Amino acid sequence: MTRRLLHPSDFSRASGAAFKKAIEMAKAGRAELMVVHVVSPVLPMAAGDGYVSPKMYEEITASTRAWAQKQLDKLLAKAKQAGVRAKGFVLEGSAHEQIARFARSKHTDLLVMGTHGRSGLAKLFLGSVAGRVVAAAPCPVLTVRGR
Amino acid sequence: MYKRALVPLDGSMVAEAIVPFILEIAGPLDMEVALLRVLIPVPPIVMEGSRHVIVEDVEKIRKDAEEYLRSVAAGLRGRGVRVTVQARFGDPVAEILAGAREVEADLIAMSTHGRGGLGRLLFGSVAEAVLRQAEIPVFMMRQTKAQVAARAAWEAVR
Repeated sequence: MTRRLLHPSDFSRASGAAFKKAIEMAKAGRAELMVVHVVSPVLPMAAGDGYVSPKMYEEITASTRAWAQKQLDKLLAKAKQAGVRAKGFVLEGSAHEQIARFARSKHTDLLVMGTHGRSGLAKLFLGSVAGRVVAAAPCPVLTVRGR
Repeated sequence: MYKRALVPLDGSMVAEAIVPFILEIAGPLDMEVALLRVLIPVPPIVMEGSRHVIVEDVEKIRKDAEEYLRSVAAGLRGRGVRVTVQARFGDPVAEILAGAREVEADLIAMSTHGRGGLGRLLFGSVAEAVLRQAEIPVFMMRQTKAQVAARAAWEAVR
């Protein structure tokens, strides 16, 4: 049975639909829910000579992580309200790699994530994190189309 | 939560690897399973310098496909799961989505061969296209041939 559910979120509406499903499934299976958000490394774009001091870089990174943590806490509060044991993690790096690695290290039984359902050109350029996660994940993946 | 799951099978061991997972979730949820096999139509082949036209025996192919689905279905029924079967001709992705609509499935569950990189670029992925286009949740299990073979060997030993 499913004991450990992993829900990667980018805090978008597409992720919201998957979050609801994840809560529902965690509740039905009395599973533990892990919510992760992956922040991509900051690429500073500075005006002028393009120099960004290490201190400023630190600050940008810290504020991104702080924002992610805040969004994550909101989701965790919602999970708690629904009576689901949940933990949150902020990861950094390439989204699908980090998600797959995390799932492997925590031995999750199921991944529940949203898809944006992009098609045509947008799909070609933006790719699909969900598609790549399916190809790299060590466990089954349930994808939920955001609306 | 889920009432009916559509399970597309392509006749390969890799595709069938999803069946144990279905059993695990369908049993407790009292879910119905709709098995689907999509057949890719082959146009009639005309041989040069010959009067013969090779026409595919559509009915026979459909019967074979249904026979195959029924054998899988029997296994599921044995475990107390309600199963329906259907075979359709056409483009795999379009037919999987159409099949799901037709049986009013609220979940699609399938294996993916898990090709990456160049393999994916060359062969495309039915699973990924389904994942992108489906309006309903998609349960996906990556299976490589090696994993399937290993499991089969393990089960033979047991």
